[in-house]
Amino acid sequence: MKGLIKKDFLILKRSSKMILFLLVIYFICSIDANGMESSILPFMMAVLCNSTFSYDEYNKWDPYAMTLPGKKNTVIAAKYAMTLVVMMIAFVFTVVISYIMGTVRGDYSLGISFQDGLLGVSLGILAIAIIFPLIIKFGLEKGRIAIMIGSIGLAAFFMIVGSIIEVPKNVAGFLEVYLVYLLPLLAMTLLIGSYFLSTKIYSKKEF
Amino acid sequence: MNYIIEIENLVKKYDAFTLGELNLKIPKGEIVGLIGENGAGKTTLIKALLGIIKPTRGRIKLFNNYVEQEADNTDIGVVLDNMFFPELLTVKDIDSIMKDIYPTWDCKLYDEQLSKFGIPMDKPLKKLSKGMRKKVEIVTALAHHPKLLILDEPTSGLDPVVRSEVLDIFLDFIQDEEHTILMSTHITSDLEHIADRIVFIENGKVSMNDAKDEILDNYGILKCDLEDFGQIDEKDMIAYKKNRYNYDILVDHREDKKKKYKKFCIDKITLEDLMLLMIKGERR
Amino acid sequence: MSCSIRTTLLILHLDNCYVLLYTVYVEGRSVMKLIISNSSPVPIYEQIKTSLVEQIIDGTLEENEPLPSIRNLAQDIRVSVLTVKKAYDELERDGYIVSIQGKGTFVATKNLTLIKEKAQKDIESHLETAVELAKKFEIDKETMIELIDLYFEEDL
Repeated sequence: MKGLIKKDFLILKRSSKMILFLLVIYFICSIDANGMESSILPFMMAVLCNSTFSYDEYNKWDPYAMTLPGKKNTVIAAKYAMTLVVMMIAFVFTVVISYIMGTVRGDYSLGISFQDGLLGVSLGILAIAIIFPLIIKFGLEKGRIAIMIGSIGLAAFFMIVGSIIEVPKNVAGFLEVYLVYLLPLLAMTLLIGSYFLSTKIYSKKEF
Repeated sequence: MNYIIEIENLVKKYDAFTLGELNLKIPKGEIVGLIGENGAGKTTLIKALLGIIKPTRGRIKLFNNYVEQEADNTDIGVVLDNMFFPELLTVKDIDSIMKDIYPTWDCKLYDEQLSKFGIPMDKPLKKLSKGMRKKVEIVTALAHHPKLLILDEPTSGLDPVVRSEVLDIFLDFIQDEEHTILMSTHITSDLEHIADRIVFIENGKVSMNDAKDEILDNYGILKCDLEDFGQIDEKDMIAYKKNRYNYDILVDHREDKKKKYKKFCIDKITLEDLMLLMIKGERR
Repeated sequence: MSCSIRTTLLILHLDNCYVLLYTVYVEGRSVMKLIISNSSPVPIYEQIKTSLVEQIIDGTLEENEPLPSIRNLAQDIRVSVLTVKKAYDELERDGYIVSIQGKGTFVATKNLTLIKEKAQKDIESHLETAVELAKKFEIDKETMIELIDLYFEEDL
């Protein structure tokens, strides 16, 4: 598995110009965003994951990967493991940027930065947990369409629900405090579920 | 006879094509050539052997063990057609990746072979010529000291000099009796040089499975004038093709036929001729 | 030359009349034979030459009969155009075929005597060599004549 993770990282390293470009955009966005730095994270992670899948698809890597020693599922495990590693790097990155921005604006708070980081990372993991099985099942082309439909649908759902349902004050208060810690847990749970789902889908896949 | 691959009643159904029923045994220590038209099932067969696809029916035995869930491919070196490492990676990257994948990966051998071929270590695969990429694939397949090589078009795109070098590598590999090569190729002249056995796949089935020398010594093409076609015994014809000025007839036991049909020209055969006559000719 | 006769019936409807047209086609089909051996040490152009010369002499290919163009023949027997051209050029040089600008290549008007004379000249030269060799190794004339008898019989 280590080798497969290495492979994806090496690809990312070799396509680092693109990533650097994205980071610059991220940086510029966060200057204006006024504390919303972490919202860019999920976007970045989704793009990175997409790119590793798209390289695999373009090079027809999967059938070759199946001829390598080790179980079929190792390929999936490596992808999820890589995600976690990227996520940790992104988390550190967010906290650092948030610190810099905060210092510049004068409203720096480690707690807020941390929370921002956790929030962004959780959203990222949630996105991955949904996106990965879709890409693995339907391939990149159709998977992207599924993702778009899914995210629009989800956003619409939350908007409608949000405008209909009035969250009772104490629940809202409770959520505000603990959401920061609940969300990552929820995200990890979903990720684990997503992993098992992806494994099941992949084991049936043929090339 | 020790068989390294045993295929029993293999069937793989697709919408437009069915492979099988296939029964095939590949002896250890031989170079076996797989020939057949595009779409005849060679690649499907190789994919089934490597676990890339799952059979609809039937069983496969590798290294004397039935492959139940997943094949253990540690001892198999693979070169596939158009499927390899992502283009962005460099040759050196492949080394560092494979190190962690194959327990028997030999970095030194990898480096040596590549420098022998003159492949730069730091160039991304994208920037290498087709021939160089093939060489990298072949070296990668050999660098983890496999016992079995399964190759799909390993020499396609290579110039004659390099092809000859690659064939030498294969012959060297086979010096160890524990090693076996199964290679699917359109370059039949390569097989005429190094193959011990030829397996001919037609329409998803094994149409011929014989020692190469026997095929080349045994079969022949009888060439007769259009009007003399009737003089040839139907039983003696395996396949025939009508040309503008003559008939080409595939016969076996060439020397016997030469004595029987003294006035006719009976040529030696190449694997290509054999394929063309079997596929495009009328069969008896 | 073998011919096949094809009849075509055309019925035309003209002003409420039916007009019948018979058309008779006489198709000449060439019975040219050609077999190329890939195992033979003899070069392909020579095999073409030898085969055509044989057919011209034994009458399979008649005088003034059209021969396939160089390109067509090359395509039909799957050899290169240059190979066929070499054969045709030599056949023309030796007087067996003629190529007419814009019309094609044809079997030359046979001058049997000329051909026979050439063949005799060839035989004489071969005999000369054989007799010289015989003298060198003291093989007598009787043995030579026996040998000639043997070879004539074998052919029949």
